[in-house]
Amino acid sequence: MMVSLPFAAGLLLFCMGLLTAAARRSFLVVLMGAAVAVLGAVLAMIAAALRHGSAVALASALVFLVLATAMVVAATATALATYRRRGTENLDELTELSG
Amino acid sequence: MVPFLVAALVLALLGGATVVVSESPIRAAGGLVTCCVGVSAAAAALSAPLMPGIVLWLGAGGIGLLLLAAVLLLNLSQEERGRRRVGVRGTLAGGVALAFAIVLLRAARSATALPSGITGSDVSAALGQSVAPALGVAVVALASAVVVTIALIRRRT
Repeated sequence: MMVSLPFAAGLLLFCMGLLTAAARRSFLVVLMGAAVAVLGAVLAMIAAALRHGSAVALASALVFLVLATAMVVAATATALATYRRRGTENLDELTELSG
Repeated sequence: MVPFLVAALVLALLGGATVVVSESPIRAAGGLVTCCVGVSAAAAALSAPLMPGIVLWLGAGGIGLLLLAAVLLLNLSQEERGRRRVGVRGTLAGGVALAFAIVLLRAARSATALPSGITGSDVSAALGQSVAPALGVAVVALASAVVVTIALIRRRT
């Protein structure tokens, strides 16, 4: 069974997520891009862990996924609170901290 | 198993491409859920113990459906207004990502055999011993994030 193909696909997913986060202006869509990047990283970690036969690496991928879920949950709450306070979640209009 | 793996990877990449390309946030959230399902299926095709269910649970359920619900709550069904924030840097990043992907996919031709042998009990033992502190921190962080989410949403300001 091929292992390097999932690794390549994971890295491609990671690049897609970064591109989404860089290109879009909606807070929630940027979060979706971050989630896609996390999924790509998890896929690459799974492929690498299976290639090297490391159960600890596989468990680390699981921990990483739980932490990423916590990040996305907190960021979604921030987006909802920002929308309630400012009436928008467009990142180009959120310039309070720009100095 | 290899056709199933390829189909799962194609599904994941299609979902990721939907998130990148789609103008509608609802379609982007659907693409994210599709991507989660594809990654979970790929993990199942690779015979990774414990991972398919957890990826599906946390990825599609915890992240995908949460973002979909947030998009529906904010009524963001309309397309984003104005131009995208793709400038020189975005184009450059896309080009670098494409070149990177081509190099990686060429390298993927030299496929190697998968050394199996990791079982669910191995991963459970690693979770209970080697990465137990990190897992505890991660679970506490997730619980804290859920509490903060509820507090922020219920806050009246």
